[in-house]
Amino acid sequence: MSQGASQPHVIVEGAGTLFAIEQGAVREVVPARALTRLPGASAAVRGLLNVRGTLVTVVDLATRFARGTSAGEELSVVIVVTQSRTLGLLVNDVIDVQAYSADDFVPTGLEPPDPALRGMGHFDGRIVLSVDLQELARQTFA
Amino acid sequence: MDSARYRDLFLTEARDHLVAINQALIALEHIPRASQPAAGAGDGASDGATRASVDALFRAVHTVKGMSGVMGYVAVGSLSHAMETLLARVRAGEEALDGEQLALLFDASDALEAAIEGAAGAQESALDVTSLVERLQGRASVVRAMAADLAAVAPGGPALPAGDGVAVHVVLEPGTILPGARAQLVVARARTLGAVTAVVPDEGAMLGDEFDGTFALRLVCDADDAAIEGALRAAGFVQGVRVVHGAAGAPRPAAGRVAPDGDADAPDAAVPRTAAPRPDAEARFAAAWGSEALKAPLQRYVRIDLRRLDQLMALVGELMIVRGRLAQRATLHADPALDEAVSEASRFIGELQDAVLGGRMVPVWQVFDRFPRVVRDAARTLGKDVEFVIEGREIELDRSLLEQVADPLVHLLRNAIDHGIEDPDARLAAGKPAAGRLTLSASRERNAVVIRLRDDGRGVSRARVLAKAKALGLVDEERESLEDEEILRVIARAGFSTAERVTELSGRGVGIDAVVSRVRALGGVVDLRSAEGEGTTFSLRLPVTLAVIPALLARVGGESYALPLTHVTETLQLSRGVVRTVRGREVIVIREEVLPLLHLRDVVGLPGRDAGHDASASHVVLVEMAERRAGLVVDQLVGQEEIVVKPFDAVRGAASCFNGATIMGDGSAALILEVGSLL
Repeated sequence: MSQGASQPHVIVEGAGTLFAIEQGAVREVVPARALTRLPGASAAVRGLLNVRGTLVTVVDLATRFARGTSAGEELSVVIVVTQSRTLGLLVNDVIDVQAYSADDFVPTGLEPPDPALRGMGHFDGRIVLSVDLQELARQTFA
Repeated sequence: MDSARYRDLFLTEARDHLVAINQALIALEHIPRASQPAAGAGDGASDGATRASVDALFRAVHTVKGMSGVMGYVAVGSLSHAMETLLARVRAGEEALDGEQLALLFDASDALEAAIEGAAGAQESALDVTSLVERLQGRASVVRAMAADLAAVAPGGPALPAGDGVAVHVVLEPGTILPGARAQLVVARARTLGAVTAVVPDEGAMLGDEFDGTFALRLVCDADDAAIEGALRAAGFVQGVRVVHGAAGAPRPAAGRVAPDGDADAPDAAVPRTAAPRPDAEARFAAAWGSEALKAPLQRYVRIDLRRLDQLMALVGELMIVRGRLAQRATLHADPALDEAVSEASRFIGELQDAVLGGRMVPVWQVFDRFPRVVRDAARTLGKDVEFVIEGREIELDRSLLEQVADPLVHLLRNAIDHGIEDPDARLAAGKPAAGRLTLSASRERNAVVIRLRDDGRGVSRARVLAKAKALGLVDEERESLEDEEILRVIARAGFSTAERVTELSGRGVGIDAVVSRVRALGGVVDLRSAEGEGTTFSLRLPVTLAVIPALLARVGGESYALPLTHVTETLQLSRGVVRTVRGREVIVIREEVLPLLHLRDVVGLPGRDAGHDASASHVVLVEMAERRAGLVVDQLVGQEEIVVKPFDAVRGAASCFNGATIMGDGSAALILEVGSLL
């Protein structure tokens, strides 16, 4: 770990790509049950999930950031709250919790850069993408 | 103490009292001036009406004053106190309620509203009410000065029992919080100077509601007048101190019955002014401040924070969803005892839902009663004469829905007064009464509440709307007339206005479009009927509640959707209608009516309309909104259900015809199709 205030991040995996999500924003992880497709929304928006009576918009991280699709029997939805908006992140698995500081992430090579990505870092010898939840929510909601 | 919570309570309650104050003022304004009480002879009926309105006004102002005292809102307190003092004199017959005074009270009511909102918004310091308080007191001080003069010329009538020492008359500053306690402080100060042998009113009465800060005491001491005055003023909030030597005291100024113009013909003026105990004046005074008038009707209701009701509603919604799941699971077990328990639970949950929904219903008067003031002010501004009638004020509507429909209604009211109702001269020339009639009514029709606003004004000028519509390219050039629903469609276009002038109130071309879209967003429909020269009627048809709606559940391509029943007229098998193509668009002919045909599959962006599905088994749901109708093709009809509407955050790019969803028995969500946005 390098210098600077480090924050715990939840490491999740979607269709083979690793993502780091600030743990402070994570409310819970629920199994992905029937999602209700939202006509007209972008492909990354997988639909609405009923979380104990509240409808949460679910975004597939793999589709949004890695041109993949999270598929399989036991998908999970990481429920995050950013700026009082609730968003569900569809992933294959929740792997670990790891502390990162801002300078653990370097800019991605994407051209143009994706504003919803803070950068990339590494976890257990693999690349991990740091997601800017606030920006992701801003892009998702009208 | 949780001050924010009390502030909210204060605000809610104070707003109700403001409505009462405005209603009473408007009622007073409508009573012929000649029969105002102090003017002498009037007919009994309007005297009674005046009395009742003044009492209502007094009661509301008094309550606001009391509440503001507890909350420590000084501006509200001093304003309401000044209003109350003025009204007390009116009730005692000391002062007539003329037009000038009514206008002053209207101004005071506005200032009171500002003060209340300001106080609750914690911006009280920004508000200066002194000038109004002075205007209200201006009349008071004139009367008081006259009373003092009277006391000086009248040797009799001591309010204080005779005795040694001097009589000291004290008046506290208006608006003094807890005047009784302050007065007792003054009395305590006096005791430091010498023996206080009498206090009028007594210390018990000072703590009562009727104490207005005016009192007298008899003091035996060696101090000179200036020393006495200085000592008593040091207690604070003392407006005036008068020391009277000799056995003769003065009557309490407010108790002196003074006709403002000194009219000797005023009732009871014949009572000798020298009469020692002045029993009639005292009795009148007591009655004016009397506890009877202040008694509020017994409370049958409690106030509940709307959020608690919302929470209850959400919980009942969850229960209903669980009920569906339970019922579904129970069918798998074929256990009669289980079935019975489930059906019993199901019935109670249904009743619970009705009860909770009932708790959210409020009579429309809670919003309608604010309107007479709006109408009065708008009519005055525009120089119109308007008679405003409210009908069906007991009809109930979901609280949140009612609140959301208030703004659109205000707009329609102002619009009617501005554009609908003519100037008095124009009305007389057209053979109508000078005063326009504006009727706001609420009625229950099937599972909807209809709010109608009817005016007897000039009606919509079809020629002008048609010309404007042509100019904007909204209709073909060769059209010669417009139907009512077309007129609404034209004037509801954002930015459309035929008003020749931009008045202060409306005509800026914004408004009707906002009204229509707001009502539509609430699941309602706006309808317009207008006859030139005879008037215009706007009808707002609204669902009774937003939280639970009856809906038809339909499936297409394996997905479920809910169609609100308010817009569904009937369903039939696709094979029973004749499908044709007219100008490249599919239509269905049903009972000689040709309706455009829409496919839900296309609406929700599912591919392959006919692939793998037997089209003849499809159903057509006939939907209608305002005067527009269409057929909507679905794969399968599941049934009719009461669904709980759940909102969700709008997602970028998502079809705008979906703003809510409902949760099905299996826990998944089904989108609710807003039919209005399809047509």
